[in-house]
Amino acid sequence: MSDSASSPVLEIRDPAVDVEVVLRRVATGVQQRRMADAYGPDSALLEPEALRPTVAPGDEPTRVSRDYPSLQEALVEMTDLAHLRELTFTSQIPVLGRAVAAMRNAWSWMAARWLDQHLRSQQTAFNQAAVRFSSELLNRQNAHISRVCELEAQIRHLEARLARLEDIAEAGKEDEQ
Amino acid sequence: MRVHQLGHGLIPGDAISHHTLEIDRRLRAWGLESHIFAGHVASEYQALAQTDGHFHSFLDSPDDLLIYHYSIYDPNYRLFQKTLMRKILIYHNITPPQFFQGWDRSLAALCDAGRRVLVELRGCDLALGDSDFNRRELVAAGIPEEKTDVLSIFLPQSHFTPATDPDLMTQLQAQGTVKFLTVGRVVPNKAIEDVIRIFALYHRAINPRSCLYVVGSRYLPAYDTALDELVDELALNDAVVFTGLVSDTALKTYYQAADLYLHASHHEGFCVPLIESMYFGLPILARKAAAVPETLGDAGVLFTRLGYKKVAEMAHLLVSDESLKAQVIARQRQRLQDFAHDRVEAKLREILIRLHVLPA
Repeated sequence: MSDSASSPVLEIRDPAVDVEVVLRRVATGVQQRRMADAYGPDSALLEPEALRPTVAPGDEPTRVSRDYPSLQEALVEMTDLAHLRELTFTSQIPVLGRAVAAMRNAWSWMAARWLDQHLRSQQTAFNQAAVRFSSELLNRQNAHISRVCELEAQIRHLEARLARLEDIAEAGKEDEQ
Repeated sequence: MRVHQLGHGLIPGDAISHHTLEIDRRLRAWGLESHIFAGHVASEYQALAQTDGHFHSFLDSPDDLLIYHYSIYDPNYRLFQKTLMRKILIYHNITPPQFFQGWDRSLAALCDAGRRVLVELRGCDLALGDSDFNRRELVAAGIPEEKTDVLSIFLPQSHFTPATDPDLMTQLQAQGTVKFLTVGRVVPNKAIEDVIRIFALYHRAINPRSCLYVVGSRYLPAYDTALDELVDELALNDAVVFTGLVSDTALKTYYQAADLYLHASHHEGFCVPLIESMYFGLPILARKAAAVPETLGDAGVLFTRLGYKKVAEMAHLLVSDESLKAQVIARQRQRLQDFAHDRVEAKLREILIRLHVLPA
C-alpha cells in the first residue's frame, strides 16, 4: 500500500495536539526526504509486506478443512439453483421479435403450462430436500472438524502435562540418589 | 460464601495469574472464602492454589461462585460446564489461529480449539472481557449483550515501580543513539516485521544513529528465522537487538532508556506494554488494531495503515519535538489513571454486589 492512498495514515486523538500542524509537518518531512533521495534506490525493500511462512511437511491444513470453504460456497450456489424458474421466451429478431416471443410464450402457456408447473414444483421440492441434506452433512462435518481440533489440542495439552510430571518424577529420583 | 477461581495456569510473571491473585486478595479482604485452581500451578504458588483436579469436590455446590479465566484452550473448561455453581467467565482473548498457521501448528491448533470452545461457555451468569474489544468477541460468540461487561485487569504493581539495572542503563546510554522499543512475545500477530521496516526507514532516511530493541521471548523458530533474515536483508544487524526474555528490572531499564514505544500488533486483547509505556513516560506510536485504540483512549498516536514513510516521520517528530513529546506524554499519564487498582476494585465489587455475592 502506498502512502499516497486516500485514507489517513496517522490518527491523533489527543485534543491538546494541533493535529493539522503535525500532519503537515509529517507530509513536508516525507516530501523533503524524497527530494533528497534519502529513502535510497532500493526503498521498495521497505514496502509493507507480510512475512510468508514456509509450510513444513505435515503442517499443511487437513484436506477436509482446506476444502471446507469451497464446500460452503458450493452449498450457497446449490441453494440459489434449487428453485427452478419459469422460462420466458425472448427474441433478437428486429421489429417482429416481440411478437414472436409473445407467440412462443402464449403457445407454451397453452400447451405445457400445467405439465411444466407440475414438473418444476416436483423438481424444486427434490432440490430443496437435497440442499437441506447437504447443509446438514456440512454442519455435521463442521462439528467433526471442531471436535478433531479440540482433541488435537487436548492431546498436546496432556503431552505437556505428562512431560512436566516426568520432569518432576525425574527430579525426585535424582534427589533420592 | 465461597468463591473459586479456575484457570489454565498460575505462573510467576504472567499477567492473568497476577490478576487472579489480586482478585483472590480482594475476595478475602471482603470476607469471602476464596480458592484458586489451575491446570498448572508453579511451585512458587503451591501454597496459594491447587491443580484443577481438586475442584471436582466442589462441583455440586450451587451456593458457590466460580470465576473462570479463559485465555487458551484448556480441557478444564468442562469443569466450568459441569458445575452447578453460579458462573462468571472472564475472557482474556485468544489470538486467532490464522496468525500461527504455517509458523507453528500446535499453537494454531490450540488457538483454534480455544476459540471454538468459547461458544460452549455461554452457560454463565456473567461474561466479562478485560476490554470492550474482548467483550464484543463474547457477544459475537453468542453470549447475550446484557450478560456481558468489562472488568479491566489488575496490572502488576511491581511493573509500576521504578527500578533500574545500572549496568544495562550505562550500556544503553553510552551508545548515544535514539532508541525505539517494542515489548512482547515475538509472535506473528505482533507484526514485528512491520516494526523493523518502519525502524529501517527511520534509520536510513532520518537518523542513522538509532537502535531498535525488541524485548520479549522468542519461541517460534520459523518466525525468528524469517525476522533474522529480514534484519539481514535490510542491513540492520548492528541496529536491531532481540533481547529475548528479560528480568523485570531489565525491562524497566529498557523503558526508561528508550525514546519511543513502537507497536504494530494486529491483535491484542488489552496490551499491557502500552500501559507500561504510559507509566515510564515513553511516547507511543501504535497500529490502530484490535483493543489498542481502546487501551490508548485519546492518548498516544495511532497509525491506521502502513504508510511507512509517514509513520517513520511521525516517529521522528515524537522523539525530536520536545513540546509535542511533552503533550503526548502528559495525555498518556492522564489515561494511565483509568487503569488504577482502585477503579478495577470498585468495578469488581459492583459486579459481585450485582450477583448478590456481596451485600449492597
